[in-house]
Amino acid sequence: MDSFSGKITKEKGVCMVDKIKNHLLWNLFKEIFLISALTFGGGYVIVPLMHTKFVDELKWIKEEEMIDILAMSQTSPGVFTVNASIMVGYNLFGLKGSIVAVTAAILPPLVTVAIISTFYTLFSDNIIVRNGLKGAQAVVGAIMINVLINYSGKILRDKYWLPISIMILAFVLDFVLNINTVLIILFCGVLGTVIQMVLLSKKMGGSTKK
Amino acid sequence: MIYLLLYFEFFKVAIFTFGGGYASLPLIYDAVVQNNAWITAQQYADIIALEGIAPGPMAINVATFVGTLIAGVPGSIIATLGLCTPAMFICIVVARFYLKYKNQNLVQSFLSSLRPTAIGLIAAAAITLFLTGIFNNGDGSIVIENFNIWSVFICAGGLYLLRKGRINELWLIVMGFGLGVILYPFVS
Repeated sequence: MDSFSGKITKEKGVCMVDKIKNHLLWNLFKEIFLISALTFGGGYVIVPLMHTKFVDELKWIKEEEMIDILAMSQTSPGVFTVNASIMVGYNLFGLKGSIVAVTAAILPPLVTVAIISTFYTLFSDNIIVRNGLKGAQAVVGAIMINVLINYSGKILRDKYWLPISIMILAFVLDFVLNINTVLIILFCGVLGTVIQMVLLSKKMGGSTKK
Repeated sequence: MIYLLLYFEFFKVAIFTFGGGYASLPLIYDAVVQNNAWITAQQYADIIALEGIAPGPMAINVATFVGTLIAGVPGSIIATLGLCTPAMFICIVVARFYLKYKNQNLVQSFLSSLRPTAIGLIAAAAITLFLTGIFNNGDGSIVIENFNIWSVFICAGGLYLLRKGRINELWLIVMGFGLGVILYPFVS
């Protein structure tokens, strides 16, 4: 009897480890933690990293949903990375998911900054750290251009004038005119909706048979 | 008491930050240098220069730095929590709205206009980051005299590997860091 129950608990123990390893929330934590730990060069760099992980590899999120999440995180106040993590987590696993995701997103910077500020002088003039960051920044440029080719390629291939002009308009407003991104998102969103509504009503008026 | 004040100052910063990390810098400055005199303007400038060393979002890094300077490790945790609390509420409301109404006609056409907008913004960020990578200073600023041919090679090589699907982005960043440590001492 004793050995029998011992066997069961042992099996249960093995199961627990596997359960944690295969648990979806643990996976969510692990992926966002890694992404946050390796994001150098500002919030936008998480876009390609999250896309590769959650859309291409894990297939948890559809591409369209991912872009929706990005646009919504941009419009909401606060830190872009935190907003995007919360929304990804919530879309996948509800409230639990969002708490896990935000914890994973803020832990790496919290720990690194705590270490850096303790050894302040050691890092501030360190040539190895500085050169490494230069190298990381060079590949970050490549990563951003890669995701840009993927995203804009789809829109350009559809050859529909409306999304193409909205994309170019948003780029010019941001890059050339330096207007606040929230204003750009709201303006382009409303403008596109109005144009679509006008086109739709014209179509409805033109073909009375339908 | 200092913890409570710290929490609310960063809570306020988060609510009024719209559109990316740089928008938060003047707000944090007002909160910690001007209104409360917790740190000096010089210390704040040092923090912003150092922030690039740490991974992760800029606003979180600056909040953590400032929090540590003011009230040690607990201070850093509280400042970061203050910065994240508003997002918890706002983003969940937005996400709920999205999940509920994303198939409605009007919401659909709004979202279909938001997607190209988001991509246009990503284009602007991509070009800025590309320029930063090539004219970089190590601290993220663009200086034309710092044009670096090695960065061009690393960037082009990285893009080639990514297009061919040979490498994952996370590994590429680790590789870029390593290449920087090895190659840059020989150029400048």
